[in-house]
Amino acid sequence: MEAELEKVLINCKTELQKNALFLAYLSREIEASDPGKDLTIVGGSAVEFYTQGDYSTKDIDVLAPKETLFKVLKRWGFIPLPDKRTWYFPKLDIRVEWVGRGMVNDDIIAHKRRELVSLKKGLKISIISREDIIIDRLVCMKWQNRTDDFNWAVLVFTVSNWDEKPIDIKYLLQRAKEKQFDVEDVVKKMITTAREFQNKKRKNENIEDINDEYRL
Amino acid sequence: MNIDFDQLEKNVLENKRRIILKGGADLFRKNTGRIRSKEDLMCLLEAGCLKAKAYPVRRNSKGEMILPLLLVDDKKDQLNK
Repeated sequence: MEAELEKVLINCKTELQKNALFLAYLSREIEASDPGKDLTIVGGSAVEFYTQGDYSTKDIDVLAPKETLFKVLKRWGFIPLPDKRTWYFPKLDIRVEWVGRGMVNDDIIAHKRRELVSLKKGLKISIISREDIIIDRLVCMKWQNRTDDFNWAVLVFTVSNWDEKPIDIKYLLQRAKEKQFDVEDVVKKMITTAREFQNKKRKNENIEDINDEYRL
Repeated sequence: MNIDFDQLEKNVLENKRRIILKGGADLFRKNTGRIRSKEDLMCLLEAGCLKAKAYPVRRNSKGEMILPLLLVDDKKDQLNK
């Protein structure tokens, strides 16, 4: 990795910011090296970014053109791990896992729904949409028995209340019904759980007061 | 590291909001992200909501998301100048 970039990343205040900034530069490098191609953040890192939480998933899962991604990471001094899809940079403790070259969920609609997150002028990252990451987490929960992922889905759904662009419930339910996912039941359960929390919260005036004090 | 979720919730009620605002993230990092019960989830949601309210998402004119905690400090990021 270029010394200057390394220095910038070392100076980041949080892991979250370090990862976001790293991914923005990586995206820019991929786009410059392979015009027309780009990088999308999926998996646990997408949850981290949407919730702005340092939940520290071990790997940063990305969709990107494989050869270009590996070439850039190699040039930046990353070490390939034995699984042949994960690259590691020990000094900064960054692990990038290539999870595919194609579109989000191999689906043009999901791919077009990606969110662009602006870190500053000209520096952006592209993330799987909130609806699609919720579906992704619930698929993991239902079909891979990863119960924690249900909770991460509830969290993404809940914090989206503070975005002027609301979650597209119609799209969420429509996707959930699709045969390849088949998670309509857990999506409904997730919505119920989120509402239960919100109702509980409304009853607690103390917590509402605390929140009001924290508005910027 | 064992987390006392009852105490954590109590802290919120006692107005020790910084603990949950900052601690919410540390909590789940140190606890390797495991959420073992519904109470854990409620606690995570509480921390998540506090953070989302404190650092609300904005959108620029192109509809791109701006997540305040991810914003780059121009002074430190000399590379992009």
